[in-house]
Amino acid sequence: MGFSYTVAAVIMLSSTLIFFGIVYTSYVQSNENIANANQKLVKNIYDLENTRVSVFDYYYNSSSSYFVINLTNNGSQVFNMSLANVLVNGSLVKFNVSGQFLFPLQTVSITFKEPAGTYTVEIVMPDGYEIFKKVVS
Amino acid sequence: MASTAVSELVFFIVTLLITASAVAVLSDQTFHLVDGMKTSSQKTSDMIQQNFAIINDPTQIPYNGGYVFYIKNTGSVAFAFTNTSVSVLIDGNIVTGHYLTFETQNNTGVLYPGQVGEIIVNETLTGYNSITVSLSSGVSHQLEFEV
Repeated sequence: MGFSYTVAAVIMLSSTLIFFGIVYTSYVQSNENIANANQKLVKNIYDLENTRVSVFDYYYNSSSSYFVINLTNNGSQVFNMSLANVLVNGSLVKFNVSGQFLFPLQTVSITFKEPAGTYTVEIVMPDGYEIFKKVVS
Repeated sequence: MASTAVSELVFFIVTLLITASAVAVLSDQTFHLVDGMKTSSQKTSDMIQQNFAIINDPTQIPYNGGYVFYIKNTGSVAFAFTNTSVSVLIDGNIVTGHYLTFETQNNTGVLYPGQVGEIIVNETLTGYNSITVSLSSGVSHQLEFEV
């Protein structure tokens, strides 16, 4: 009788310990997942707050009907320009960019084809930062 | 003497059986708990990492079979971009059914980080309006615009 109870107690205690270990590990992993996600969110907000991109100048090449807009990065972020977007008069357009990455203090040229005229251009950076510019050919 | 040994053995087996069932119940509950924790943390982490922006020029909303709204995934994870996973409200009224079309690159129904999808709202609008877009995770953004 006493031996049976001892065995039962040992089994219950050891299994409880094992299960507690499993639950604790899972809790730590879950916490870590959420902490990592929070860290990414904070970084995204920080990146957006530190985005300083502006239109340096622009010109219109009448022979090829291309607008060329030069963008300068005065912030501390690096942008992958293949993830940027350009809207002309509110519509997404295809564009070419002189370099894939825009590093701090560097300038890239964005080129898109439109007939001569006046357009509202919106450049959307990969983090969602928007730059508006009215361009005249 | 022999009967005492047999009864001890029976007690031992019964105790083992009871303990085994208790451990089985405990184990089942533990794995339920662990599974719940994993799912919950994954959902919370996705929700935290999901973000998007309505990148339209608010004064020039393009019209192509409906008003076209551009949604850019500015978060760190992909999200479903279909009429069952995204809610759209125009001036506070929900838009559903054939009044609403979702378009993604290659029609995958998923918007990956950096990608731009389109929501086409086929409704008659005039003057100043607002659009609210909400993901299934609860992440929501609003844009005031003029047509």
